[in-house]
Amino acid sequence: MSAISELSSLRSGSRRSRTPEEKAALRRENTRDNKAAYLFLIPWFIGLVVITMGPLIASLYLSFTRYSLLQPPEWIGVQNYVDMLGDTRLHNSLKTTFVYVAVGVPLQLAFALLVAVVLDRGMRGLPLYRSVFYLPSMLGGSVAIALLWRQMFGTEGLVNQVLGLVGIESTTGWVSDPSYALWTIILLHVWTFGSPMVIFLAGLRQIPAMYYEAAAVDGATRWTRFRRITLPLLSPIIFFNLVLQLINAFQSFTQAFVVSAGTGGPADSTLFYSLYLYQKGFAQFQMGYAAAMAWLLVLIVGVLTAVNFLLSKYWVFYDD
Amino acid sequence: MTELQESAAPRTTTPGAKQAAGPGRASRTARSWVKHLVLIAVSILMIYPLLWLVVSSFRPTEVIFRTPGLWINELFTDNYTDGWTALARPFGHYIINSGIVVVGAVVGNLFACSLAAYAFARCRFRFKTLWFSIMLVTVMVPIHVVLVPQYILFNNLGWVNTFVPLILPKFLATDSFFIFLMVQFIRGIPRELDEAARIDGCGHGRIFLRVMLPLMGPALATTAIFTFIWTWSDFFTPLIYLTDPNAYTVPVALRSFLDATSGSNWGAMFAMSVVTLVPLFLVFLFGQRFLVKGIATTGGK
Amino acid sequence: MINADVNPATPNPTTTRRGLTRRQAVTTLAATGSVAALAACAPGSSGGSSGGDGGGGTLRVSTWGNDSRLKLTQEAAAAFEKANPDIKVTIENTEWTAYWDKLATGTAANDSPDVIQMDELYIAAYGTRGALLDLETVSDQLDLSDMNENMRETGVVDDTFVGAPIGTGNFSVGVNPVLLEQAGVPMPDDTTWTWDDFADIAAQVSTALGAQGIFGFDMFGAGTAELGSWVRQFGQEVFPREGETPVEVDTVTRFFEYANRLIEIGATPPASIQSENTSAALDATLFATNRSAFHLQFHTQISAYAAASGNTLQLLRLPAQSAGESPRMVNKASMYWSIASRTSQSENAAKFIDFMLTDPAATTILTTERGIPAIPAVQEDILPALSPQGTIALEFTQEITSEVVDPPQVTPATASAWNTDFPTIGTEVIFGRTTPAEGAQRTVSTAESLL
Repeated sequence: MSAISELSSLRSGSRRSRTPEEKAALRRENTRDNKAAYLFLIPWFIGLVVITMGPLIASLYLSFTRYSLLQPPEWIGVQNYVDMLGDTRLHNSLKTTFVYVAVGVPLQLAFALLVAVVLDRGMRGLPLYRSVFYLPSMLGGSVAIALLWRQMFGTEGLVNQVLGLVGIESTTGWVSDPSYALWTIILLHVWTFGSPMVIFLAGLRQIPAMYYEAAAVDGATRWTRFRRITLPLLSPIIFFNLVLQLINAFQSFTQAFVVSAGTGGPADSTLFYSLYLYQKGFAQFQMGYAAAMAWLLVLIVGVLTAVNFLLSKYWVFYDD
Repeated sequence: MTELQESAAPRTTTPGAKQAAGPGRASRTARSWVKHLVLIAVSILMIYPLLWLVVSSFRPTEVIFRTPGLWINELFTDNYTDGWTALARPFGHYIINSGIVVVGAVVGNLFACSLAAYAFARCRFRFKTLWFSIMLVTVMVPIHVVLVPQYILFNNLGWVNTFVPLILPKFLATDSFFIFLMVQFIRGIPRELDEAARIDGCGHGRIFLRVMLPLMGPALATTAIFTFIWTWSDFFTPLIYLTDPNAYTVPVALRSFLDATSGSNWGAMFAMSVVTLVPLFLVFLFGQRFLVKGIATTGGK
Repeated sequence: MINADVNPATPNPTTTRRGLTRRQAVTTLAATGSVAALAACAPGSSGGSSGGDGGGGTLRVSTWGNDSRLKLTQEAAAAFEKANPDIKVTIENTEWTAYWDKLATGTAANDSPDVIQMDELYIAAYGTRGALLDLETVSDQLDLSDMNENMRETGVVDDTFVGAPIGTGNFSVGVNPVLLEQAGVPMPDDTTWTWDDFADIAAQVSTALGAQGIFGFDMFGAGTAELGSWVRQFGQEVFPREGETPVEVDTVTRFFEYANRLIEIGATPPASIQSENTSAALDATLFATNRSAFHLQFHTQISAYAAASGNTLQLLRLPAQSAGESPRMVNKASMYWSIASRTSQSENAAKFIDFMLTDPAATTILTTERGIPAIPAVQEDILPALSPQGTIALEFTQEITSEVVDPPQVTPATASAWNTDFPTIGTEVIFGRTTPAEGAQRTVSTAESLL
């Protein structure tokens, strides 16, 4: 899909008239490119054929079957997909997931970018700060974090204690009340902003310092430098984070799973799509249905990603 | 890009004038202090869970949930000694298992993903769009539905209960995340560099080895660090593929202390979590040095 | 069999080396895909479930539980190995949730362990789908004729004996005597008490100790076991067998109304705290941390709560609907030992289970770790080895033996969703997002849809 832009540039390039020699050279180069590319891609192709593709196709096949895991699958056509139309828990879980993605992803990315820019250079102790800021993500979906989260946002937790200090008496159990539980998971997601932060940091390193020096000489303000240099030069990385975080957030599972002890509760308020899919597949032995759910997710995420790639033409700048 | 060139092109204004009008030295130090203070405050928020983890690991299990707060009156170290020996093998055994898996995974990802990424970023070839789309689709499918077919596959290959299902896929570039990551980084590297190498007579192999790899420092470091941390803390894959308790990796071993139905040995779990976090933290603390060695410092362009 | 399958599943890698044409690629992909799918279709072409490890004489035993249970199990397994030098045993232990993921995956791939620790919730799901061996076929090695007949029946699914009950669990009231004393509330007489008495007593405790954040009763209304016990007292069942009365909406409405009344009079904490308590780790719950005087549970869990709370805890019968009525308690199997239907070592597996259930060399190590043994002679054997808390649990079971009614059928194969579906409804009711009547309606229709 990144090749969409590539293809269009190729097409526009071919409109220019070329001399026969140029064309021959281009063809030679293309053949060489073609050969080299497939050589470079050998491990990936083997992986695709041997490891990735089989299970993928199998799951697509299973989505048209009734499959209890314990008995052979039984072909039922599109029944699973039809059943999904009437599954209110599924619709709810989609809604929950959309809210999570729409709020969590932009917030987390903005926060990660901000911190990355602050921790980029020009200060003492940066390695330590970076490590400390990355810590929560390192603990990530661990059971310890889940316990801690439930404690911090519990009825007698740190959050309510702090609220009490500023004069707000609160006995809300933020994690256990269906009205707030989702928001604590979103907060947890934002708080574990370490991975995109590290990727941004690495991206910032790719920007030649001379641009900034030149701009400083020019008298550009910090904001101008950020907007005119950092943002455009970092755009491929921002784009990467956006695409991947979106894909990952739609599949978000671990955090809600550990915090709600696998239930998606209270009262389904943190029942993410993947969590529901998992419950269907493993706890209720409806792997065929789970597979159908998975492919609906692939469709949704695939479309959104494609849109992302189309829009990227307008704001992502490549140097090639 | 045009925007950038406008702003980046050095104009011929006198540099000194602007500097002199800027803030004085004293106020700059003050600002740096403020910055540090803010960062330290946020750091505390970030580090709070770790503190809680460490403190809890020095408390007897039955006290952990009865006492809030971070103060400990006496240092209770039994969790560490008990935790180390509580399972079938000393805990070091599981750390070594994890170590083997992690090293394999890191090497595999660096090798295979960088190759694939180079092809996607720098070569023109047939069906590129198609292959790239397929690569992205493979990360969109939730793991839980491909797990069973994959297990059947690996079981038929006789790989279950070995480290092969945890390591080999990395050598076959199945982590699309890192391929895409590297693609984006490579595309950020100016093309003139490989054009120059090509004019010097380099083929793709040499351009990749001599030009790209050195310039991809930050991307490779990111890949290595993430692979290390994610593989180290991955619970589900080793859980499913390793049935022999002697082959357990750290996260699986850690869960052995827990059981929702029969009560858990939290003290030991926290103590061993702290022990196994140390390598992670060190890897990040030192690994990020390589993040810093980018094109900016190697003086490219 | 393993070797035979390798070839079709690994397409010769050299075909991908040269520039792969689109058609070649597609055919190859389809080939692997279909192979994997086919493998998924037919998990059981022949015996040999101990595939992965290759060790012919090794018996794979899968269990869930914490490290202390694992240690006891390993000691008992070592005793078994000593008594049967030709059999080697590997204990594959995992915590509860992960256990079922792993078991399902392994079973689907024809790679399940030989001996499987089973739970009431899943035994029908596995048993009716042919994943478990009929234990009658190995009755020479596994003789359970001494077991309480009612208890043995709970391991029968679709007329097949697929699970040997390890022990008895009685859903009952756990009580913290220290808190009762602090509150100045006398220990209730559980032979006569009703749910109304219970509510009053719990409210008294909350009133007396509320300032210290202590409640009388920790939670009620969103648990499947308490609902089951409640409707049984009306002579109904959530999942009735042939001839049993299905649950009525009115019964569940009263259940939810009672749950809400408990909150109103302060007997139980607000919904928010209750919901928090549901998902908390056992050791962090109100009852385990001495912040609630009463708690409903399967009675052998009392040891875990006692260990966490640091107090000796007592057990009481469930309250009845009205004075003089029976609380209609039941003996449920706390867990089962099952054998994978595709095991190649069914006799060794049966020997192992028999040893674990009846041989003093194992039972005196395991004691009540997995429930109160359902064989009277074994109960005698283990008595000297029991902790005071374990003795309390054992004596409780013996005391109510004459009063219990027939146990309900195990959770039906199609109803594994019940333990997530019902708590969702119950939680909505106690939070006031649904009325008791609506909740009851939904409960009954959900139960019906799962049958």
